[in-house]
Amino acid sequence: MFEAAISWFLGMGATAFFVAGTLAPLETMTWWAGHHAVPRRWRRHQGALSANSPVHYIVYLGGIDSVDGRVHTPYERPLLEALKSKLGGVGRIVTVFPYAASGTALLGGARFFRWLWRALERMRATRPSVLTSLINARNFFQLLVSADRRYGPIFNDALASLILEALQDAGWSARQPPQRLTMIGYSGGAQMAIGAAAFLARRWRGPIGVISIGGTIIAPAGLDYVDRFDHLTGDDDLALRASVLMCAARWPIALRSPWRRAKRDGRLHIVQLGHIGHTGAHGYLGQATQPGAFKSNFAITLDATLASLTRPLPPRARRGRFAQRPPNLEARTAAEQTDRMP
Amino acid sequence: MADLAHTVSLLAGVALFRRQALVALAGAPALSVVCVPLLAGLSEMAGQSFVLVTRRVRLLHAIASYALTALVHVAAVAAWTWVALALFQFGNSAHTSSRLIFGVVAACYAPRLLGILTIAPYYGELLGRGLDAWTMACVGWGLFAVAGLSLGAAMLCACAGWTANHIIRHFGSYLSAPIFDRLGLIIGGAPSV
Repeated sequence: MFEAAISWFLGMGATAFFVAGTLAPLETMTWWAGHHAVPRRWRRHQGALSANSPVHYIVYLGGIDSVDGRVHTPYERPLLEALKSKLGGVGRIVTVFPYAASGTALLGGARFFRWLWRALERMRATRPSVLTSLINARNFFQLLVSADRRYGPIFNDALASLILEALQDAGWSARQPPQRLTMIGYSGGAQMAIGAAAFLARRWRGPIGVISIGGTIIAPAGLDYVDRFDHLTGDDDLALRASVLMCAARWPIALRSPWRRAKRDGRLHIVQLGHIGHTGAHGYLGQATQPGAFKSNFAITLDATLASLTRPLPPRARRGRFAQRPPNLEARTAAEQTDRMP
Repeated sequence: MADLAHTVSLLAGVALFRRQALVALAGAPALSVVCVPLLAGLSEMAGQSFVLVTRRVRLLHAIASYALTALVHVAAVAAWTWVALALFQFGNSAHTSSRLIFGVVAACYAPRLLGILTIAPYYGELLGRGLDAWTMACVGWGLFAVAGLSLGAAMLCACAGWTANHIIRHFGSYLSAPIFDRLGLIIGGAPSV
């Protein structure tokens, strides 16, 4: 009886995993096929030039428990508020929901399962249960889409456009002098940031930095386009360890991987924050205090993030596919890329 | 409905290395057994449907691409059979029916019916390689269990057939690419895709 129940659960789990995996790329493919209702075009010549434009744009990409670019979890909200108050007018923070190529948040837009995500979000706020982790599962598969060699370029191109749109809404214009861009990715958001970096590098003329807060990086190819990558890690973070296991490019034997290349070039900095877990009170954004520490985990993470944000970045270096191309050709490629977008 | 359930159980039996299932399936009429690689081809193309979407292939061309991939799988089974049979006859004086070898190779394409699962992100490609290895193991075991070869010889036949199959598909894909590109057709699993 017990064995039958275990077999049934394992069978159902495996079936659900494969079905979810099969359906995961459909949203990206549908968007690419042009069937999606949301029109998207990067507005190259819009946006006003302003003397008060900030010199540092910051994009926040939430963890895999995100449901919307504007609605943040109780752990993320204080971080964003603290960053806004500490940076003042120097930096402008925008947030993007990174787990959909269409940019449609789980709680809004024309989604078939919107009612389910809304119900789960309500349940998570009042009475968290195993069911609410369906949101994490859904976003985890989108993370895999971003990391995939086949779907990744489409998804990441779409995400880069979403980020540029959000930046334009925040006052950025392509006509402004090169400015600094930093993407802060929490958990899966860091992978999304690295994926999008490859496409942002074509259109963003200033240096690009990424700050990963416990980032689960499983496809580091985009690191070639990042000028500085600060990886904040906790010793008790199991998700972080699992991501290293999943990603062969991060194994010690992968000598020529983008990860290793970034380390060699001095662009990748691993910042160890001590005994911090991935989520919850003992996670990066939790209020627990490590034994012997005077600050909460949240304060430690905030300080490390601010230190990374205020550290000067080297001028934009040409790397990867664009290393040998003259600037006019790069501009043309960016224009072609933009025209190709639906 | 009962027939469908029986067929599914036979296919599962072959994939799980059950001799009776393989004997029953390999001995079925040629038209029935050829359905296995045909369906495997359709499943593989479904698994690689992202290519159709990214290239914005029209519906008619997409249907033709599915049909073509299915036919390529049947041709691959024929090529695999031919190489395995040539090696088999080189090492054995006993006469073996080409129909039986074809039936074994075609039936052993059962694991590839799961080819649609390669659509999954990140681990899909790895899954595809796993299905490839599983199919080759099935063919080797099938030649050993049904055609009466020693295990070593059967695995050798399977490996040689698999290699020949891949070489033919690799070069065939590159040679035929200009024609199929012009016709707007795509073959699933082709290296040029």
